[in-house]
Amino acid sequence: MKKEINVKPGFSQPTERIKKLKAAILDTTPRIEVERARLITESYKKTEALPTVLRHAKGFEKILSELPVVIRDNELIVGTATIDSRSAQIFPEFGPQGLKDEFDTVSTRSADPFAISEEVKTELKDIFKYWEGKTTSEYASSLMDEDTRKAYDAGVFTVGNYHQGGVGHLAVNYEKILQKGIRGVISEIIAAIKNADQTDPSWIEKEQFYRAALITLKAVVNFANRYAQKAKELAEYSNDAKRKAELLKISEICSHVPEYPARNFYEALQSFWFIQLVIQIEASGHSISPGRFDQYMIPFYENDDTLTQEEAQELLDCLFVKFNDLNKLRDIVTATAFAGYQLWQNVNCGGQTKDGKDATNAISYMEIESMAHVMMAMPSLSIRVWNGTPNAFLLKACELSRLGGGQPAFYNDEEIITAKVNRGETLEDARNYAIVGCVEPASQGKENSWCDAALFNLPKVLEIAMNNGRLNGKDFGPKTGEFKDFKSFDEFLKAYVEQMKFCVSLLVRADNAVDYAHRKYGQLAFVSTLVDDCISKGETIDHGGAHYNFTGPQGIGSANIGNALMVVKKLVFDSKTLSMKQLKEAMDHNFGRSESAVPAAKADKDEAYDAIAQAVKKVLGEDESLDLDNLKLNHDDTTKSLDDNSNVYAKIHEQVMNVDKYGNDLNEVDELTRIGSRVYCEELENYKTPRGGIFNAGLYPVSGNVLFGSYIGATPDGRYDKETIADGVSPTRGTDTNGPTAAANSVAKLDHFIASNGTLYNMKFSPSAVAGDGGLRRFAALIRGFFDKKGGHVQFNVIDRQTLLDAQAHPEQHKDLIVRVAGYSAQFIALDKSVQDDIIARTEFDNF
Amino acid sequence: MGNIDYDKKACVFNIQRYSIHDGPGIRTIVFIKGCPLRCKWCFNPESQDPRPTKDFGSMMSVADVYKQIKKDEVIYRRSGGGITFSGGEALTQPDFVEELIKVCNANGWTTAVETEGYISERTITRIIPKLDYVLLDIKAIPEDVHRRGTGVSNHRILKNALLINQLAKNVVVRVPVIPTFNYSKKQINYICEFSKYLNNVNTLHLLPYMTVGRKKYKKLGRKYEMGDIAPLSEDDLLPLKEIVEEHGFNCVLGG
Repeated sequence: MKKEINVKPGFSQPTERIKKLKAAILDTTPRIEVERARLITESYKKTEALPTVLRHAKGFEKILSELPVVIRDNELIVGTATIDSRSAQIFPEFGPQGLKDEFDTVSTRSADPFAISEEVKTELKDIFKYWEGKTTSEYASSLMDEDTRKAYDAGVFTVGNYHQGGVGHLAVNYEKILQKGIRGVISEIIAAIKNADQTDPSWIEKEQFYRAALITLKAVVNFANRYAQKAKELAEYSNDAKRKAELLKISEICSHVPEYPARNFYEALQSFWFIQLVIQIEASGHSISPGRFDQYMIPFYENDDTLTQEEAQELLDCLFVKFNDLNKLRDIVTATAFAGYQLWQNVNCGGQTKDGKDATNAISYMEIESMAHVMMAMPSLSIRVWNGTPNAFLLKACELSRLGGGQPAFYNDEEIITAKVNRGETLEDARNYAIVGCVEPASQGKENSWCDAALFNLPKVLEIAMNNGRLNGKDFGPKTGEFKDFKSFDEFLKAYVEQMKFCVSLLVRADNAVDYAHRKYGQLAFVSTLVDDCISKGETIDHGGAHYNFTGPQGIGSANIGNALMVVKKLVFDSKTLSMKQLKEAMDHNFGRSESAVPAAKADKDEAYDAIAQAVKKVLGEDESLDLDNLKLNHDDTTKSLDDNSNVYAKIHEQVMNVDKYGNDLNEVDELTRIGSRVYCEELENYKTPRGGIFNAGLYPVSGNVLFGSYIGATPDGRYDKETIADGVSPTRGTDTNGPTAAANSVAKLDHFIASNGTLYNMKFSPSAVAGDGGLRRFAALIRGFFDKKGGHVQFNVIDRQTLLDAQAHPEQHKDLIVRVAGYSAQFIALDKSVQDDIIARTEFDNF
Repeated sequence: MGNIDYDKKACVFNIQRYSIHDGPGIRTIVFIKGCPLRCKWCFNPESQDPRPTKDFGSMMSVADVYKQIKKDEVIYRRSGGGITFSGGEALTQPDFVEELIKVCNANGWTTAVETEGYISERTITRIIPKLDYVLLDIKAIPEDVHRRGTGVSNHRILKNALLINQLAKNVVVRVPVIPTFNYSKKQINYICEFSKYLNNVNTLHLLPYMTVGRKKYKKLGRKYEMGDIAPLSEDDLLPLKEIVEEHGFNCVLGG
């Protein structure tokens, strides 16, 4: 029976239960729990003679059979990794997560504190001793050659994400569990074993994988049964008749799923959650993304006559809150950069079905409603948009965006599907892409895209090209000529391309080292059973078992490259206003900006700046690759001397800033930005991954643009020494001054198709600019227009009062902020203070 | 439709993309220099003189403007938007506007004009029927009040308003609400009463007084006659909105 979709404006209120569940999570101070680390270590100590895949499976089995089983008050969807809500287990097999140095400070730090008891400290210290020299992290380090290390340390790129922890970044085949149950998967494995040629030499390893997979699958069933038992016990003790009934129902459901196929919507949600949870207990990789949730959930909703729409919505809300029950410990610096306990569990909705029809369904709308009800850090919501997306659905998504939480993000099927087909996926698989993590599209249940494999610093490569291959003053890349000696723009561009080739080759070596470490020590059997074709091939995803394999490192700073190339072309070669020598000199003197130019607040600012720089560095780079003292030292040096010629250099800076900038719909500079970022993407295509796929570039930043800026001196685009570089494919902050349509047009001129691991474009709006029905329609039209021009992704900040205040205090950083004034819209910072004040007052009113 | 004269020129002082309050959808406004009125509160005083000055306005051909406005063509299509002619007073350059209207029609973009109505009957009969939307300024009904605020009598404007009402496909009346001029229930009441004679009008926009022009007067060597009067907020206009609505009109604040 097909259920009707009733589209209404606005959002309903969440139920009391949802409010309580949410409050319970927000009120808890997370703590570090030791059980997982203890159990896996005990298991590993007993399995030293076994191959990794079996050792990890046995560890997982032990964890799931002994991890405390906890059902929280008011919960309808159950299952947790920790005794306390939002607490974190430790994954010592991937590395110590920065904890070694932070045992005594982790509970009092300002960002994402975790309480830790003395007993846990003592026990973890002991556990870490066992793991010394045995982690994927240490093994990967040992595989990197000297040149690769140099580039990594100097911030040409970082592969820290998978170097420090698990890989994650998957949208697995949840549908299989919902439809067939774990028993179905077990049957699949048994069939594969029966069909295998046991005389083939590869059989030995295959058999180990199958054995490991069966252990893990049974462990998950056992885990769910422990919940069934627990719920039954709690029901016995409950005096509240209503809760008692709920607990008995939970018990019944957990004894059925995920072992058997789900029979209704409630069971499907619970089955999904067990899978989502145990994948994140198996390993520490984040961005375990539900993906196309509306597609695999819809049959269970439509065929369910036991629930009202309101009850179904509440259950979904329960799940959306539950995503926030999970947590991950990060070291102080990382936590500072990514405060808010984020795991990037990305839920999608809308788009196209495998056979190319509109996929929007009742669950798609319910997901949006749940986001509005829950408004928490997780999950992330991704809206897939194509020409056939119902406008009512897009408007609903815009309505959510307008609430100001920065959710959802919008993706363009018309671009992404083509891009994935170009990477060798079938049309059907490409249409079935899910957004994973931040912005990365991966064919659901079939792809191990390693889509956050590295951050790559595009302007750093330009810097190397400007210095005849020298990296921070030392010989490094090929000799492509001194900056001052280039006789034509094309010569300079060619040098950039040459250095790009060299740096990309090093990036590939670094990623392959990390890849190999996971292949050797990170073999994950359970999650592999949910990614095609691991079972038929008899291999884990780490071994290349997935149907599609990629390594997806993302380039950052496209706008800086385009703007820099434009300045060199215009000022040096076209108008001959400057010589290469003059430009180089001005950059070497930081365009005349010195310590005196940055007044009193500098010390604090530097401190804050360094904290962020370190933070991001930590997220991305492993501890030992940190050379912060050196970084700090360089920083001080460059800002120390007040140069006599600073006026001359400041003048050059003015000229540089007057050259057309990317983000204003000006063809020449937009084209150079396209060329500058394409070079990176094209070069990567030439390389293969150890898992049998190819490298697949993205152009998005996470938050690496802040860190990467700190590694680069002044650049020809007018960027000062150590200044942040542009995020994703967005224009450099404050240089897109012709309004949102012009900026979006520029962004759409890049080749999003070849950046097939995803692009990211941030836009800002004041709430009043998108207020009312007209505002909502214009909002949707902007998205459609950008996607007509083949942009890949866009997300919105609907600006709040605080930002406007900040814009008043720091106008130079908010040049692109458009607000509504009276009979027209205007650039906020261009307005008189009194008008600004007026708008700030008004915004509060506009803020829903 | 006839051939388009792409070489026709006028002095344009701004082309603003992503305009969202000057007609339906997302629009681009072409600001044309020259205005016969001298409103004391004008926040673009440098746009009154029809000639280009050193740093304000330049002679642009229809082709030049076309090149700029077509950049957002996809957005017009998706939002039902198009081009709005404003000024100054755009209709002081009817030949230029007419050619651009032809360009817009050929591209399927909607057209709108913001006018204060102080133009010849001939221009109105020629241009207004070709536009999709007219945003008509009516600032005050009593002649002496109008003359004091804008430097001209409103007889011509009110007469033209009736004609525009007949000829235009869609008309909205816009009222800049200015303290010491028409920021009173009485004045707004008059405007509403008058607007009832415009049977095509069902919406009034009330635009609160702003002081963004203040500094520009000094630069032009002119006195800013509004002095230190504080800007109005949309909240200040709420009582006036009530009046407009009592008269049976939709009222948009800041529209």
